[in-house]
Amino acid sequence: MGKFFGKIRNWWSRHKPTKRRLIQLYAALLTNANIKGFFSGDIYAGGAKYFCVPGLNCYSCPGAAGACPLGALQNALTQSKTSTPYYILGILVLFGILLGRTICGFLCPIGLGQELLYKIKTPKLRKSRYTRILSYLKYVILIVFVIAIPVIYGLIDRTVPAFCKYICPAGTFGGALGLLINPANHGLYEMLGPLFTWKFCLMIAICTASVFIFRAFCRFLCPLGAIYSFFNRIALLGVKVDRDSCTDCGLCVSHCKMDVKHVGDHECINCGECISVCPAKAISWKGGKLFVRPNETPVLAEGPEEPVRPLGALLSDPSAGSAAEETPETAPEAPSEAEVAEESAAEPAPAARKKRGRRFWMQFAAWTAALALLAGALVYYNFIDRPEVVYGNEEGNVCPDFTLPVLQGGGETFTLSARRGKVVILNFWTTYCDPCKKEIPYFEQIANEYEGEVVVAIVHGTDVIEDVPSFIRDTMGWGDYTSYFLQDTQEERTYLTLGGRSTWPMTVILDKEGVIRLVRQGETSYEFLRTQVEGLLGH
Amino acid sequence: MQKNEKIRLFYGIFLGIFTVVIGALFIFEAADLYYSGLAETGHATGMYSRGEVASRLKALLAPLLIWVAAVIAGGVLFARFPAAGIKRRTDAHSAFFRLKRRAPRFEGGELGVMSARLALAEKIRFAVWACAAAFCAAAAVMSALYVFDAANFPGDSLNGEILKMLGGVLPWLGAAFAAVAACTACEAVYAKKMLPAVKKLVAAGRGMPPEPSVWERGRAAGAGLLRDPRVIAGVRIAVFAAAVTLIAVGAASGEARVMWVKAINICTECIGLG
Repeated sequence: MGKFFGKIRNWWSRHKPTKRRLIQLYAALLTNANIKGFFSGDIYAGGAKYFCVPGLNCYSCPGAAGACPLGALQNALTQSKTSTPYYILGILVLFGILLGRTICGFLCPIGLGQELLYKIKTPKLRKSRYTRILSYLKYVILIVFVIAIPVIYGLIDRTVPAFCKYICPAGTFGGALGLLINPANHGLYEMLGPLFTWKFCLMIAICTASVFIFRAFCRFLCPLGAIYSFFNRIALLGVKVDRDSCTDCGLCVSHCKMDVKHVGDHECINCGECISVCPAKAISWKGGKLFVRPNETPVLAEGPEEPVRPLGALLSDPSAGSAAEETPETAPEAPSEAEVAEESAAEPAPAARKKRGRRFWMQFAAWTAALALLAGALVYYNFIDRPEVVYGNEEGNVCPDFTLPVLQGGGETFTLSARRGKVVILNFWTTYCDPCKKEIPYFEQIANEYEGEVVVAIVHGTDVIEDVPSFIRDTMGWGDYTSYFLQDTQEERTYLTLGGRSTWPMTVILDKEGVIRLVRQGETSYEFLRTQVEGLLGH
Repeated sequence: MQKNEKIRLFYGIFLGIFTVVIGALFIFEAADLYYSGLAETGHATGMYSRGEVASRLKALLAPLLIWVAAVIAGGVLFARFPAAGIKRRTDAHSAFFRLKRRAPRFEGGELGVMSARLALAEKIRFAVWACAAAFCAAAAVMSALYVFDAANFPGDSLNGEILKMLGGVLPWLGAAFAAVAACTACEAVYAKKMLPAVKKLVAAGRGMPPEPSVWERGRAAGAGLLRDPRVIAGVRIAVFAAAVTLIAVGAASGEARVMWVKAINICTECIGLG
C-alpha cells in the first residue's frame, strides 16, 4: 500500500501544476466570473464592463466579467470619424507598459486553452526560422483587420469589427457556443448561416493546430499579442538577461517553444521556463522596479557560484556543427530544496531564517489577497450584481401596451393600443449595430407599400451613445419617412418586455388584434417581411 | 529505438491522426449542415433549429468520446513509459551566428584569408537581405494601396468586399513570405558552410576583441541605448504617464460609457451570428 501511495506521490510531484498554470487557471476563472450567465443564457450587463480584462476574452461570452480590449478597440475605431479612441488606447498602453506579453504567458484564457491542448500526446511541429517568419502574420492581421477595416468602414458609417467578425476564435467558442448551448437562446439558431459556419470551421482548425503546434493562435494570428509585443522590452514585468553573465550558449532559445531570437524579445511571452534552463543563471524576472537593477537572483545564487559553460566546450561541441538531434541529455534541473538549504546554510542562520520568514509571509499575503479577490468576484457577479431582467410575452400572447416618445420631434408619442386594427411591425435597433442599420430601409419600404394597413415602429434601445435624431438625419441620410422612429425608455423597457436578450436587431410582428405572431432575433430581409405581412393581411 | 520510445512514437502518431480526423469530422458536419439548409430552402433558416443541430452533433458524440478516451489513455501511457531524457536540438545556423559575434579579424595568413572570406560573405548576406526587405516593403505598399483605398469598400456587400481584399492582398503576402523563406534557406546553407571557419577564428582569437559586422554594430548601438537604466526609466515613466492621460481624457469625454454600452450587448457579428 505504501508503495502505491509512493507512486502516486512521485507522479504528483512530476505532474503537479506549476505556479504559472495555477495563475492561468485563476485568471481564466476571474475573467469569466459571471458563471450564472452560462445557466441563464444572458451576458453580464453590469458596471464591471467599464473595464477591460487584459487577455482575449469575448464580451459576448455569458461568463465574461469585463470588456474585451480587442473588441473595444475595433468598436472604438469604427467611430474614429467623430472621435479618437483615447480610453481604450490608454488601457492597452497601460497593460503593455505594466505587463507586456506577460499577459499572454499568465493571464490570457485562450493561451491557457492552447497550452492544455498542446499537452495531448501527439508528435509536435517544432519551431523553425520559417515559423518565425510566419509569426509576423499577426502584425498584418493587426494592421488590416483590427485597424484598417474598422476605420475605413467607419468612414461610411458601417460598424465592422473585422477581426472579431471573421477570425477571433474566442468569440465563437466563448460567445457563440456559450450562448447557443443554453435552451433560452433557441432564437439565436435562426441567425446561424455562412458566417457562423466559417468561424466554427476556423475555430476547429485552430484547436486542431494547437494540438500539434505550441500556441498556434498566439504565435501566428493574435493581434492582441502583437500590440503587447511592442511593449515587451520596456514592460515592468517580464524576464531579463544579464548580459555580463550570459555565455551565448543558446540553451534558452532552443528550450523555448515560442519563436524567440533572444529571451525577452517581442515573441517572448515571459513564461519564465528559460530561467531554470540557463546554466549561467543569467535569466531572471524583472521586478516591479522602475529602474533596472543588476541581476537579483534568489537565495540559491548567494552560495558558491556554479561554473558556467566555458566557450571552449561550445567550440568543441560536435553537435553544434550538425542539424541532427543530439543524444538525449537530461535538462539542467532547478536545484532541489536540499541544495538550496545547503547553500543558504553558508549564511549566518538568523539572517537566512529572517529572509525565509519574510518571503513566506509575503507569499502568504499574496495568495490570500488573490483568493479573496477571486472569492469576492464570484460572490459579487453571481449573487450581488444581478441586473433585473424582464422576460415574457411569447408568440401567441397579446402584446402589452406601451407609450414611447417619437424621435421625429414635436413631443409626439406613440401608443400601441391606438394602432389596433392594423398589423404592427416593431423593429428594435441601435446606432452602433451594423445589421440594424442595413435592414431599416426594408422596414421603410414595407411601411410605404402597405401604408394604411401596416404600421412600422423602429425603436431605438435604451442605451444611447449619440443623438439618435441627428444620426438618422445626418449620418444615415434618412429624411421623410413613413415609419415611426421611437425611443425605448427605462420606464417602459419595451425591448426587455418583449423578450429581448441583448441582441440587436430584434423584430416583433403583431397581428390586427395585437397578438404577437413573430419574435425574431437578428437581421431580416425584405422578402421575409413581405411574406409575413402578406400572411397576416390575408392577401 | 528503445521500447519506450517506440510505444510513445506509434501511439503519438495514432493519436495525431485521430485528432485530425475528429477535427475534419466537425468541419465536415458544419459545412454539411450549412449546405443542406441552403439546398433545401434556399436560405439557411429552418435547418438551424436547436433540435436539428443537436441531432447532428449526436452523430459526432461517439467518435468524440472515443477520442477523449484515447487522449486520457495517451496520458497514462506516456506516464507509464517515460521519455529517456529531454532532447536538445542545436543547429549550425544558430551556432554560427552565436560564434560569429565573437570572431576577431585577422590580417594575413590562412586566418586572414578566412576573415576576408567571412567579411565578403557577410556583405553578400546583407545585400541579399536588403533586397528581400525591399521586396517585402514593396509588397506591403501594394497591399496598403488596396487596403487603405476606401473606394474598394463601398459597403454594399461586406463579405464580398472582404473576400476581394483577401484576393488582392494574399498573393503579395505569399510572395513576401516566399522571398524571406528563400533568404532564410540560403542563410542556413551559408551558415553550415562557414561554421568550421568561424570556429577556427574564434579558437585562434581568444583574448582578442571581436570584429562585429556593420549591422551588428548598428544593432548593438540601438540595444545599448535600451540597456541604459536611465533611458529605460525615462521611457517607462513617459509611457505610463501617456497611458494615464489617455485613460483620463477618454473617460472624461464619455468613451468609457460608449465602451460599456457595446460590451453589455451581444455583438452578434462578433460571434458569427448573422
